[in-house]
Amino acid sequence: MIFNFFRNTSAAFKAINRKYSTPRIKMTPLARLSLGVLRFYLLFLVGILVYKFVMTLHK
Amino acid sequence: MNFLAKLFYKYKKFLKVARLYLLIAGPGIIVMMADNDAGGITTYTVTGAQYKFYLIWFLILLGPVAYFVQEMTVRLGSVTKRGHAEAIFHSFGAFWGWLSLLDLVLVDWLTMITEFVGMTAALSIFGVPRLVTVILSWIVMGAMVIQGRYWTWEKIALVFCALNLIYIPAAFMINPPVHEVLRGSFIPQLPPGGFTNALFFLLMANIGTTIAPWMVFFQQSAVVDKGMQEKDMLWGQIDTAVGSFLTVVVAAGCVILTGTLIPGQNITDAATAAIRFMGINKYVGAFLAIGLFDAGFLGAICISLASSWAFGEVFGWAHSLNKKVKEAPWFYAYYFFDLMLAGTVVLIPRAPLVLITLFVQVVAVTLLPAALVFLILLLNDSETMGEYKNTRFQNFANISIVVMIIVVSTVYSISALFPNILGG
Amino acid sequence: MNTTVQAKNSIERTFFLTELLGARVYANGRKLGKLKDLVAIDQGKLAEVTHIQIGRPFGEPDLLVPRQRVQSFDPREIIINVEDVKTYVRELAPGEVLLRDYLLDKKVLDMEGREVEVVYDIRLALTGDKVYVSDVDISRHGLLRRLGLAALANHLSKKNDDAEKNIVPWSYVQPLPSQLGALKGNIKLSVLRERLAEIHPVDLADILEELDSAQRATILEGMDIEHASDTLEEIEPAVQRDIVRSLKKDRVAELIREMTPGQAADVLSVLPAEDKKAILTLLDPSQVEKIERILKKQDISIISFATTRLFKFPPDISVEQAQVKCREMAKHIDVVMYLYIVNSRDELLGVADIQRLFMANDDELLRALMVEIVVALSPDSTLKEAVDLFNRYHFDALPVVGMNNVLLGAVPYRDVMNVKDRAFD
Repeated sequence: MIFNFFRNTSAAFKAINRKYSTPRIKMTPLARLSLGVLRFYLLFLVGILVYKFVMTLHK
Repeated sequence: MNFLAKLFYKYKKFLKVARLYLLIAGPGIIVMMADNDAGGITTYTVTGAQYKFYLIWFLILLGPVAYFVQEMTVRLGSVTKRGHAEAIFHSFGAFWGWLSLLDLVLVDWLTMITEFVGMTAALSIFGVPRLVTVILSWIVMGAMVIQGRYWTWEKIALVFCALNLIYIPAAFMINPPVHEVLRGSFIPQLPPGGFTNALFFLLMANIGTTIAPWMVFFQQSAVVDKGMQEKDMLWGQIDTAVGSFLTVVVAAGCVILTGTLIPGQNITDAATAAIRFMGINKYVGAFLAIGLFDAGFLGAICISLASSWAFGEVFGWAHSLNKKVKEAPWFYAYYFFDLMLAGTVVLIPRAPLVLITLFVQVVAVTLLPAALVFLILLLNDSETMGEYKNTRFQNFANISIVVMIIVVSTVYSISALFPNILGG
Repeated sequence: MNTTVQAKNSIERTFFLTELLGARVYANGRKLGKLKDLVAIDQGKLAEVTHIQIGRPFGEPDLLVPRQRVQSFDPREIIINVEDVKTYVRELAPGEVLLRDYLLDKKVLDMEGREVEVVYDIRLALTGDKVYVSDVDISRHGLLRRLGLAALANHLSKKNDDAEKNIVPWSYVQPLPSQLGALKGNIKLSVLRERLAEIHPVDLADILEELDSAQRATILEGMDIEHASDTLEEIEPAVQRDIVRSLKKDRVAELIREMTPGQAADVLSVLPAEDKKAILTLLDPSQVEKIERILKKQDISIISFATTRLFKFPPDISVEQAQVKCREMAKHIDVVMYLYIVNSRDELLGVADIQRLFMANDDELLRALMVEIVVALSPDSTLKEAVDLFNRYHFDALPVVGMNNVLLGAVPYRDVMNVKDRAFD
C-alpha cells in the first residue's frame, strides 16, 4: 500500500517533468547567460552553507 | 454647462472610476501590507529605537523599489494567466521549477514560524497564553477561506490591512517632534556616529523585509485567481502603487513611535518595544501590540496561500479561493497543513526560534535572486508578453534594483553566517 | 446491485484483486515469482480472466500463463502447472487487458452519478473453472481497505450500506482513455464517446474538470462541435486554459466560432495573451471585432452582447405566414423564443411569444398577438442593468432598442448570465 502511494506520487512527478521538460522561453544569449550565472551563484551559496555547517560541527 | 453641472459630471465620473478601482484593487494592497509582517515591524521598531528618525528617508526610498518589483507580477499575471511557480516551470523547465518550488516551501514555512512568534508575543502582552493565540488564529484563518469565494477572502484580508494602519494614529498620539521627523524623511543623511557595521546590518535588514520571494509568488497568483485581464492592468498597477505608499507610511509610523518614545534603547524585537511602551503610554503600547499581531496574521495567511497556490499550479490541483473546500481539497489541505505546522513549532517549549529567524534570512537569499532574475527574463520575453513587456525605462529601473538587492542580500546572508567577516 | 453475478448459483468464491496481487507463484514445488497482474478479455457484461502475469526476480521477463494452467488460486500461494517456462514469454495481444495496469487506481466514469471515481479495487468471481471480473469497487470502504484500515472500514460499513452501493458491476464501467498514444487498453472508449453525447454540457464540464489534460483533449476532440463548444464554455477558467493548450488551435477556433461574442470573449479573457492572439487570428474579422470590443472595454455596454439573428416580422402578416417563415429561418437564429414585430423603419412595435404563435388561429394577424409594452434595453445599458432586468422579469431574451425605438438586436439570457464578470461581485 505504501509502495502504491509512492508509485502514484512518482507518476505525478514524472508527468510534471514531462510536461515541463523543455524551457519555453526564447533563449536569447542574455537569458542563457543569466541562467548560467544564477547556477554558479546558487552553487556558491550552497557551498558556503555547507562550509558553515562543517565549521560549526568541528568546533 | 454651468459650474454646478460640471462639478456634478466630474463627481459622477470620479465615482465611476473609484468603483472600478475598488473592484480591481486588492492583491497589491494586501501584498504590500503583508510585507510589513512580524519581521518587518520588528526591523522598523529596532531601526527607530537605535537611530531615531535619521533613516526614514531610506524607508521612503524602499517604497518605489517594492513597487517596481511587484508591478512586474501584475503584468505577468494578467497577461499570461499563470502563477509565478507555473510560469517558472513553463518558461524555464522542470529543473528551475522544482528548485524554486522547494525553496519557496522551505522559506515560506520558516517565515511563517516567525509570524506566529510575532503573533504570540504580541498577544502575550495582554496576558493571552500562546496556545490560545495560536488556536484562535487558526480558527479565523480557516473561517476566511472556508466559504469558497475569493471576493470574501479579499475583503476580510483588506480589513486586516486597514488594522495595520493603526501605527499612523499611534504615531500622532505621542506628539513626535515634527521638525525632526520631516528632516529625517526628506534629507538623506547618515545618523551621528557615521557608517558602522551595525548600521549596515540594519539597512540590509530593512531591504530584506521590503522584498521577499513569497511576495512575488503571492501577488502573481492572486492576480490570476482574481481573474485580472490585460484591460485591468492599469488598475492593478495603481493598486500596487497605493499599497507601496501605505507600506512606507506604516513603516515610518513604526520608526516614529520607537524613535520618540524609546530612542537610543537597545531592543531586539517589536514585542519588547510594546512592553516598554506600556510603561510610558498604555494606549500606544496596546496599539503597537495589536499592530504586531495583525502584521503576523496577515503575513501568515498570505505566505501560506502563496505556497498553496504554487503547489496547486504545478501539480494541477484545483487551486482557487473561488472553490469550496470539497472542490479543491489539496489546495486547502496544504494551506491548513502549513499553518498548523508553523503554529505547532511555536508551541514547542524551548524551540530554537532565534536560530530559525536567522535561518530564514539566509535561506530567503537563495530564493530571492532566482525569483527576481526569472521575473526580469519573463518580462522581457516578447513572445509571451507582447506589447506589455518591459520598456527600456522599466528594464533600467528593475535591473538596477535586482542587482542591488542580490548584492546586498548576499552580503547580508554571508555576514549573518560569519558575523566576524566584516571585522565587527 | 450485484445481480448479474449472484444470479449464477455456481459462484464458488469472490475475492479482490489487491488481495491476490503479490502472491507467490509456485510451479513444480519451486518458487517461480510473484503474481504481478491478471489479463482479462472484455465480454460486455463480464470480463473473463484468461491469463495471469507473473513477475520474476533478477530482471527475467514476465510470464503470461493461461488460466487453465493454474491449479489453485489462493492469496497465500498460487500453484501453476507448467513445464517449460520460456514458452510463456509473449507480448499482450490486442483486446487483452491488464487489470492492475489499466484499471486499478485509475479513474472511471460513473455514468449514473455522472462523476469521475477512482477504482480502489476489482472484485473477481470464481465460477467452475473460470474467473470473471464482476465488479469494480469505487467506495470509501475500498479506499480505507487499501490504506490498511480494514477494521475501520468494516466498522463504518456496518453503519450504512455505502460499500455495497458503490461496488459497480463491470458492465457499467467505462474506463477513460489514459493517454493519447496508448489507447489499446481502453476497451470501451468507443462506447464512452457515444454515451458522452447524452450528457448535459454542465455535467460534462464537471467530469472534464476531474480528468488530466490528455484525457480532456481526447474527449473534446471526439465530440461534435456544438456539444464540445457548449461544454468548453461551462468549464472553469484554469481548466479552460489547460484544454486550450492541449487542443489544436484550429479546433479551439472551431469551438469558439460556435459561440456568441459574449461567450467567446468570456472564454478568451481567461487565456494567456499568446494563445488568445493565436486564436483570434483564426476567427473571421467581424466576430473578432465584436469580441475585442468586449475584451478591451472596462465598462461593457450591452450592445456588444446583442445578436441580430432573431425573428423580425412586419405586423400585418398572418400567423400562418409567420409560422412558415419561422421554420425556414430557425436554423440560423439565436433567439427563438420571441418574435419581434417591427414597422418598415425597423421601429419595435411589440413582441410576441413563440408559444402564442403556435396556439393562435392561422388567419390571425401578428399585430393581434403582440404585447405592445415591451421591456427593452438601450444600447448603452450596462451588463449589470441587463442582469437586473433578467432577474426581475425572467425573460429568455431582451430586445435592445436605440433612438426612436429602432430594434438593434436582442440579448439572450444565457449569454449574459453565464458571463463571469466581476461587476457582479
